Amino acid sequence: MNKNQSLFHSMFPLLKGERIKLSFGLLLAVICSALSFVPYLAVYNIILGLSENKLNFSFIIFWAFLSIGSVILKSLLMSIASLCTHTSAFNTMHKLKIKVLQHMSSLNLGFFNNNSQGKIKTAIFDDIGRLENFIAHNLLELAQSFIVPLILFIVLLTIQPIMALCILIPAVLGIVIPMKIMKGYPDLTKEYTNTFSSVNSSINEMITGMQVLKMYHLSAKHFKRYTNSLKQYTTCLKKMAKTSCSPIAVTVVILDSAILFTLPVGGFLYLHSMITLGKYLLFILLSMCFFSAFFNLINIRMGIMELKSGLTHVQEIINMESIKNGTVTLSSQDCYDIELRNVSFSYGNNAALSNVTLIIPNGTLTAFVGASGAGKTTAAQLIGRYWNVTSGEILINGININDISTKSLMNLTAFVFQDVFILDDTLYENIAMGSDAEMSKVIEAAKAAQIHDFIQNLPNGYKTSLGVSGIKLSGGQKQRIAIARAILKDAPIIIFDEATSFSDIENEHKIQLALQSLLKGKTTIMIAHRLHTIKNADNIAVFDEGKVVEQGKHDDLTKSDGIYEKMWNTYIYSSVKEVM
Amino acid sequence: MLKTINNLLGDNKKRLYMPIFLTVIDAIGSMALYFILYLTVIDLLNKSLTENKIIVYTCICAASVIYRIIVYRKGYLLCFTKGFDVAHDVRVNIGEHICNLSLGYFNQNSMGYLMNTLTNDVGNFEGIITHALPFCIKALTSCALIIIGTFFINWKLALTQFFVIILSFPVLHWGNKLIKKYGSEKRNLSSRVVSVVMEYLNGFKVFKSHNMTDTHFDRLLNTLEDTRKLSIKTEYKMAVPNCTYSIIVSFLTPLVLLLGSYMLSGHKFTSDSFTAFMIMSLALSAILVSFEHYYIMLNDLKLAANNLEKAFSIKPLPYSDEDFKLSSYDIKFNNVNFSYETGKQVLYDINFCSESGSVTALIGPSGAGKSTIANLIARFWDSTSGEIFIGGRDIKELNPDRLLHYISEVFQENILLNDTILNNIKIGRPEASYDEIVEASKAAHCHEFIEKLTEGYNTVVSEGGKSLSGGERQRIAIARAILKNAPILLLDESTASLDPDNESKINHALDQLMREKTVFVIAHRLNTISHADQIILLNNGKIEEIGSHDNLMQQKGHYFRMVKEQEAARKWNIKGESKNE
Repeated sequence: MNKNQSLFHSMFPLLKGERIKLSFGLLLAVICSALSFVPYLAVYNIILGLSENKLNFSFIIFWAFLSIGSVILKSLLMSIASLCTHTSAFNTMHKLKIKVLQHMSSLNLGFFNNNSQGKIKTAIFDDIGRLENFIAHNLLELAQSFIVPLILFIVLLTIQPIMALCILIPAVLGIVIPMKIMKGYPDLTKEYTNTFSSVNSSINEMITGMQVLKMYHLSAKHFKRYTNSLKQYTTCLKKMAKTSCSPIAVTVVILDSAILFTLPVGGFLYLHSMITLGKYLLFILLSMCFFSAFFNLINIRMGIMELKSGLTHVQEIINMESIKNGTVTLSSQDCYDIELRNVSFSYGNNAALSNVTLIIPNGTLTAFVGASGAGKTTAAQLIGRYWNVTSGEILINGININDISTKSLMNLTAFVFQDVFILDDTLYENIAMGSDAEMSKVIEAAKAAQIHDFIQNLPNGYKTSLGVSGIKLSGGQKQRIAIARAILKDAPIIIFDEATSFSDIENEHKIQLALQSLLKGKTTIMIAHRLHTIKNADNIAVFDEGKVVEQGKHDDLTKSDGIYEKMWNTYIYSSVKEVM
Repeated sequence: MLKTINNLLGDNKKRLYMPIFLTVIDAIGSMALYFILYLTVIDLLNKSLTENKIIVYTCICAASVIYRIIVYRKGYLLCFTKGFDVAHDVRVNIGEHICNLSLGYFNQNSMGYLMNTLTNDVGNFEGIITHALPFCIKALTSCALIIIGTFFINWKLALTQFFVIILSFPVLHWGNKLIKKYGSEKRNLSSRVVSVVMEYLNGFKVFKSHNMTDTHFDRLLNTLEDTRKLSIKTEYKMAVPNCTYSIIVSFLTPLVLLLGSYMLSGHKFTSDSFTAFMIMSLALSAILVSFEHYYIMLNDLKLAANNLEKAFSIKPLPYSDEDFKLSSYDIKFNNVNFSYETGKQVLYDINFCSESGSVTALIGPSGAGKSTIANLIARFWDSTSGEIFIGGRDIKELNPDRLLHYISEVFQENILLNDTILNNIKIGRPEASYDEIVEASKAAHCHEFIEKLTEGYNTVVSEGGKSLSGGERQRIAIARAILKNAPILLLDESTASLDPDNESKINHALDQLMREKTVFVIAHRLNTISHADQIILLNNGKIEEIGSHDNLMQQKGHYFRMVKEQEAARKWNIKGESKNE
């Protein structure tokens, strides 16, 4: 019950502005299903006329045209009703999608890892998509299957209470008997979910892992896993069919057979002159159509269940706390000192940094080194406020970065990541990145990033499209595009992850040259993997298990008999071997 | 469409006869109620209703209800169980078919398609065969029964009624065509929305750091707005045929009223027949109105069946030698040309020979054709023209699955199975002992990190191996290949750079793996390249230079320049003091 409330609670504000349209649509739908009784009424009246032998042509014409009118009106109104509910469904979904996306934009950047991307995708496209069925179809069906029979039943009660109750018998039987039968049956939903997901996961592994499966002659074994899971799945489905066949058969057939009760009862009353011929006729005719709208109810239940679980996911995203924006704006023309003061950070329960204190003076180059997972990338990302620190402070010129506006902070910093994100757009756009920079500036940056020659040799030059529809770049080329972006941005603080994933060896030196132009006169943090590149850094911070364990210049550190010295020796050993 | 479904079902369609038969006789049973209604009404008209008649009618009704509950239950059960059996067989067949396809077929693109076919399309097929099919058959049977009945009463009126029903068919078809048209438009748009949203999510960090989130959010809003508009537009367009169909089929009763009364007044028609017609037309309208819904579902069946047939039409590579033995492993390319799709040639006239036990380094810019050559050796694809020989045998004769016995492969994407790390390594050689596995892990430099995991070798790898880093997955794959110890090794060295902090460890592992094998390595390290027996420098799908390191250095060509640049890069360090020694 509680869950139900929160579901409709969260939906209600979204329906604002749609309420009139939606209620109008539902009202029309109710009118429609009322109109659908008109042909029955026409037939009733004509048969009544026949029985009393007072049928005249104009009477028939009247009822014929009335039912033609009702049929046309019904179809038109139904179309309008469906348009109303569909429009409000699509509008609501649209609003909800925007709400989710907007909210996500305010979350910290750490949210955007691979794991949550799948979740967001499902939430936006599948979960919210279920609203269409609910608002556009299920609500209509609900209105039709309850309201009209209810009103009709009340009308019938006033006409002839005994007969009205007779017509209700199938509803009682059709619901009570199946419930009795169903009691004691095992709940198979869980088994269904399990077997279904095991089929899907075996399909997933079979297809994505086919290369390994074939390479190691495992395809037969895994095919067997697939067929076994299919067998279980099919068995479960059959069990479900077996469980549900009796109650469903009873419900469907009995709801279809109201005449079984109205015929004898009405006949008896009629023969004993307790009801008129007309009333008897009316009730047996209505027995044929009274419950036709009821069948929809079976589908509605499923729809609501799916919607509920879907909206729970959406709610989860909306409930995540958004990051608070600061207000201070700093000019990106000046140079800045950076200070990490007792910074600790953890991803969930995993501590990634503990008590890191570090001063990065204006205009210097600081290198972060350490084994993978030591915390160097995390420390660098915290400076761009990709995450909020768990405790401690990060200061830029003495101002806590939480007090600086996101926009200003982003203007101060330029990040070059290992995996470069390429826009589905032209090369120009990929370097300019929305800045409307002049072409000459972009070319200048591209030249400094050693990518201009490559671009120039493309038939469409800077207008060449990249991304899904365009040409593919090698890792090194992407890296240089990212450097060109950063050069163009000209931010005073540069955070660079030195990547080594160049897919061709020619690139390496070019990237080094590009880097040289980028870093001129900037405050730089470099996450380094190859130690020779940072030999001359002003300061080297050595990370180990989330702490800065050593810092200093290369020459001092190599003499200090610490972690760095060991790292350097291993490094030298393997590069010597390399050159051999 | 029927033919496609027929092909898919094969002999299985016989299993569906019984449930279909039961559905049909259930429909006949439901007609009994209308018949009783008719008899009662006639008796009322003729004032001939007696208590006995009521008892008889009620008994018939009760009998028909009981009969229907039994038949409906059995029919429902059979429809589902047989339908599930049929779907089960289709699933098994398609799975088997997919297992026989050549590995080249399994790329990013096709995998998505296959996944979709195996899960969604088969699911739709199953759902419709069990749900929509019986309803459609029932509706059609009931319609046919009613129409036949009316023909017995008055053929003229029946014919008119029949004509009206026929009129509704083109309208159904029209609606169907609109659904298809807007459906495909919607699908295109929704795939664009997905890609825009994914771009927004993937690029969010970058957009934020360039203060571009607003412009990209606008772009996102625009495509979402387009979706909203198109969805509404589709409903508007669909409203016309839907409305028309509904009017036409609901027109039956008023039509009977008009024509019937006209005929009645001309005494061509008894009031009994008139009553019968009226009741039947009411029933007919009710059935036809609900039919539309299932008709649309049947169209989904067509789509699903087409997709399934398309998947079945992908043919595995042919071979003539099922079970062969290779005794030597020299590899020879003879005028090999290759293109993945016509018009886009990837390799041109490749000729080379690698001796058994030698190392061949493939180098060149990305897209030059290095991985294609490796894939052709493993027969993931067949060359478009020219021959490839392994140990003197033309590989087109060899069973591709059997050929893989002789080949190990370590590429950039390494897939781990959702099993323990131990088993993931063990698949290299299922009979290997625990000690042998640990030894292979040590050689692949993964023993150390595995030991650090809380459950060590028994740690279960999550699906796709996402719980491990790229470099860790890499080294497990190397351990696996070391254990397999196949005579031919295909290797992509850029794998090492997946994990820059462990690059040297991975390189050691690769060196270990390459010992005493016929190796093709897509090389990035000067060390590997200069020690190779043969270097093939590819450019735009052609061999630009081929020979040993010393040979190529003497030529002073492209390779020579690459080596010089690499040497410069080695000596570089930041702060600009790169000295030219």
